Amino acid sequence: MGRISSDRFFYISLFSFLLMGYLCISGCKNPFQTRSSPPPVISEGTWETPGLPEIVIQNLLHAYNEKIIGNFIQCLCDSFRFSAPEDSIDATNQGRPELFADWDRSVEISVTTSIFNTSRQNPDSFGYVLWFHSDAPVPDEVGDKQAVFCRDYEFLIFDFKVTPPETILTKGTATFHMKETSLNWWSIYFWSDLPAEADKDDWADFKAQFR
Amino acid sequence: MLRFVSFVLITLSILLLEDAFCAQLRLDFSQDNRTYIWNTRLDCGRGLNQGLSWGFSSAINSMLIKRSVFSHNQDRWQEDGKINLNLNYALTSRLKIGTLFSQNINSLEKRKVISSEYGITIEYNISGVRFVQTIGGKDIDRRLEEGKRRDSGFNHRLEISHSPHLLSESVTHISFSQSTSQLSNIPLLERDFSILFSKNFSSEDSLEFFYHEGWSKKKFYRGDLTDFQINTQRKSQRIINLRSSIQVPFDIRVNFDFDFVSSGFKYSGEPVFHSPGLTDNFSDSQNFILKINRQFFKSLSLGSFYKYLETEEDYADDQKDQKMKSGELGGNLQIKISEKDSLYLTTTIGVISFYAPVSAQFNDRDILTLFAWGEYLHVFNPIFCLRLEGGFRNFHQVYISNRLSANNNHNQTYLLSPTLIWRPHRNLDLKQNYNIQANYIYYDYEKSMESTKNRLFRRASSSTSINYHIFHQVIFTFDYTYRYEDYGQLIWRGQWVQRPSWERRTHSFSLSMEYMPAKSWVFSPEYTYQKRRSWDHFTDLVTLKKSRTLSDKFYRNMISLSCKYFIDDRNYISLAGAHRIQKSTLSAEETSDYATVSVSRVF
Repeated sequence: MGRISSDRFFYISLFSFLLMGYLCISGCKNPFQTRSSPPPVISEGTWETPGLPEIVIQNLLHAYNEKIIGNFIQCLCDSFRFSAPEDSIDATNQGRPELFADWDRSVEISVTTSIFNTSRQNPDSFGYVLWFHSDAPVPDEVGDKQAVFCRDYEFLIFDFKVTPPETILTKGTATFHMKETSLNWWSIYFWSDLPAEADKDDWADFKAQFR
Repeated sequence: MLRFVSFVLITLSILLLEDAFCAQLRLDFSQDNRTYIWNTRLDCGRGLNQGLSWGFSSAINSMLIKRSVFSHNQDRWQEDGKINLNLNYALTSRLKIGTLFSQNINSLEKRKVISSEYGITIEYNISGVRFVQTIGGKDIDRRLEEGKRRDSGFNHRLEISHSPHLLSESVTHISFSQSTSQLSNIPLLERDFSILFSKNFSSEDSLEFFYHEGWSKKKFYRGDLTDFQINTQRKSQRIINLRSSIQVPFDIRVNFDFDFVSSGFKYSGEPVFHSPGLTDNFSDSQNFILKINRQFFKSLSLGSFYKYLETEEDYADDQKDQKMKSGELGGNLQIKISEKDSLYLTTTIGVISFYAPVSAQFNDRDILTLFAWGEYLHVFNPIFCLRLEGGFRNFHQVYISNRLSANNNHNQTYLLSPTLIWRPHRNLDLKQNYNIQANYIYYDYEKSMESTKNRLFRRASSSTSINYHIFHQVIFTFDYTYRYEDYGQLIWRGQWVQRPSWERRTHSFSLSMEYMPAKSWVFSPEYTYQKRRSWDHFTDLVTLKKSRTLSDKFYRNMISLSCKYFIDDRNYISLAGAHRIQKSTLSAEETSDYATVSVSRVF
């Protein structure tokens, strides 16, 4: 049996690749077909193209208050990290240093999904309102590809499931480090949170309850 | 305290490191408006004589946030650091004894946690099996404004590891460890077991397998320092990784990777007033990726892959439960068409599906992702070439429930970016880049309506960069960028048309110099100027006349200077500072200062 020529190898291999690709995408059922959905009963949330870093902050604020996880996820970079340096000390103090450790994008999404779900499922007994102060504590730092924004926030939590019912107001400063990529526009790659007063609760404490 | 320790460390490093076997010192300082950060790191070790050696490592990080004069709060100091010291003596080739001391400090104002460990270690080898035992004590000292609390007790750690030689061209490593901390209130017990096996069957084919099983039981405090409860956490974890690579007939390379991670947390103990209960939770995650690659005639490379990922989170409170399944198919092509032309193309398609329990089914959703990217390079001659880049990305988000299906939308981004690179003289480099981007967002249930939610964001920019080497020691760089952006409603009239809402034009230019007066010195001053104007667009509803008004003018001036003395990548001193002034018609003038100092030395 003679050797197969390299040209023939080329065509056999190319054919194999095309055949495999065809089989993958043309089965009995399209594996990349999304599920269908019924028409909406309520209006949609607020989201804008993050063509500027400040729009990312607005998108995050709207996604949090409107509890739309899909919009929230689009604010985060693949290399996202969250840090709460003061709360980490308290966690270390209580013997749980892992509570704020390795807080990456998947942890943030998991935690936020839990927060949104809990709030949406119990609208009469559990909820929150987040708002940012209009005056930034330090000037925004915007470069060509990177930006740092500090925002003082107030986070009001209503929890009527506990006895007695509670309304907790937490205050703090969130610092968002953002970067711009060609197809992803602007997104947050590092988010750190500090309470307004040492030893007081902040947004990170609330998030950690859902981790 | 830590600042004093860092000073002592630096002094000691200068005095003692002359004879050290190996050492690395790293000092960094940065100031960004009211935030000051100091990082200090020192690692060193030395073999003193036959069998006797010591090692020392420390890392201290300090951060000061100075409060605004308009704020009632005070400055905030936060420091954390760790110090490790060990002394070892090899009695025989199989038996080694030693001592160790380590201390971790975390402090924030009056809150401080200091944990110290000390002990003796015995390391011995019997028939290739390595035993390491550490016996000692552990102290955790916690201090808060309302008081202090101390935990101390006995500490024991045992590590057993063995690397048997089972097959040729293979590595096998088996290890087991157990740590016990018999602290008075919060004891800890941890066990870990792992197996690693890897084998190279040939220069092309390999297999690697890793298995890890971990279990721990720990007690921890909840609540205030003076009014606390002790809870128990039981954690279990299992990890399996598989990596394989094989060359099959027709010179096709196949890679198959598989990962499985399973973890569970169980909590028990008294609930704490004003604090949510900790819920048991379990999570499983598994993914595999199959990659196929083939090289043709050294000029064409074809590849494709399929990724599958599945995760499941299970909480005792099923409101938070979630499952996710994701599949992604992709391919890439790299071809050298001729001596002057080359092309790279890559594309992927994938769907991520989220499944929530019945009580939270409104959050069920699918995300379809389409991505395509291409790069083409044409070399006209050795001093002139063209690079063309372009891409497309589409997200289609579909919420299954009618409670959220109003958010179902397509989010599409298109990009085209040609770049010309010209080197008319050996001392002169010119680069011209053009960039066009567009982002279309339209909502599935509002496509036919004139909805303000359907939007188009467009951006175009032109960048010019000139690099001129006057001498070997001096390089001048000039950059100019013009950027145009507009944003507006997207209306479907057989095709998409835009109704502009605003537009923005930005001019940025920078002039910088790199001056190297000597081989190891670099000075780099830079000046940057940016001017941005924004307009709002209006349409008169009666006359349909379009107009625009200037809504904002923005100016930024920044001057920076950096100086670096370097021997190589690991031995250098650098200083950098910047002063920035910016003003907008919408805000007052802002002035900012930045400074960084870095020292790195390897002895």
